[in-house]
Amino acid sequence: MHHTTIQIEINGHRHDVHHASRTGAEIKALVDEENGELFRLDGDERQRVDDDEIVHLHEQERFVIVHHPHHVSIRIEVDGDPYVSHREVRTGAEIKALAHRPPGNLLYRLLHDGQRVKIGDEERVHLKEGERFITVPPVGHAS
Amino acid sequence: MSGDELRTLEALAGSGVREVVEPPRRLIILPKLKLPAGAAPSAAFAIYHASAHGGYSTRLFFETPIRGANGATPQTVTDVLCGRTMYAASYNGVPADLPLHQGILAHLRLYEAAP
Repeated sequence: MHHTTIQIEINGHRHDVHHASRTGAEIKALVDEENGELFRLDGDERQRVDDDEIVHLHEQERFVIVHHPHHVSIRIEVDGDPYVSHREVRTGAEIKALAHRPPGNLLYRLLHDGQRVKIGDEERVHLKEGERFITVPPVGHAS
Repeated sequence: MSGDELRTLEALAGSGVREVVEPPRRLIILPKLKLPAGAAPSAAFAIYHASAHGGYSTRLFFETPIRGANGATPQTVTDVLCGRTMYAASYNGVPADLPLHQGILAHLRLYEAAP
């Protein structure tokens, strides 16, 4: 059986392909990047190639695989109520906003031993699944 | 006290948190309330008086006077609650209608290090 060898380029690296027709998924599999999104480059244009789409390959054809940020979904608690953050990093002010708490409230991260760590409005927090926060209104004064 | 509120309070003060109502007093028993970093002791038995007490909207009592993170021990008054002599610092303006954990943490700010 006669095999055609075609040289294509994926993400700037050359690969020999022995079949002139490949699906998008098969092209991605050549570089073990099945989770990315495949595009065929045509000059300055790029055309998306679906996984099940058959591509009739040409010599020196160029492709790129683009990875999108992972979809983030982190469950946290604020004042005992559950919320989901779709970002891994939030500032203290953004955590309060997510939970619809007044911006003037103080924010604490609750540690496993019951200790609290105060978080400033501009402080960036790397959220972890199940993490618990508490807000406190700025009330009270020594008398 | 709701189940969610109890769960939050137990995260702050250990298991065994319970409410005692002695009309007109509403008391929250906190077996081992964690104090702010730098305060001494680091944890103590406490009772949150979640109703008015001697001109204060709410009060937080401890089994012993607490030294704050700044090294100073605020002046205290004593009262007998649930058969125990308890100590409370002079800290006012924490409304009784706040969620319990917020009221307790508002009182604990007295013992935090200055920002």
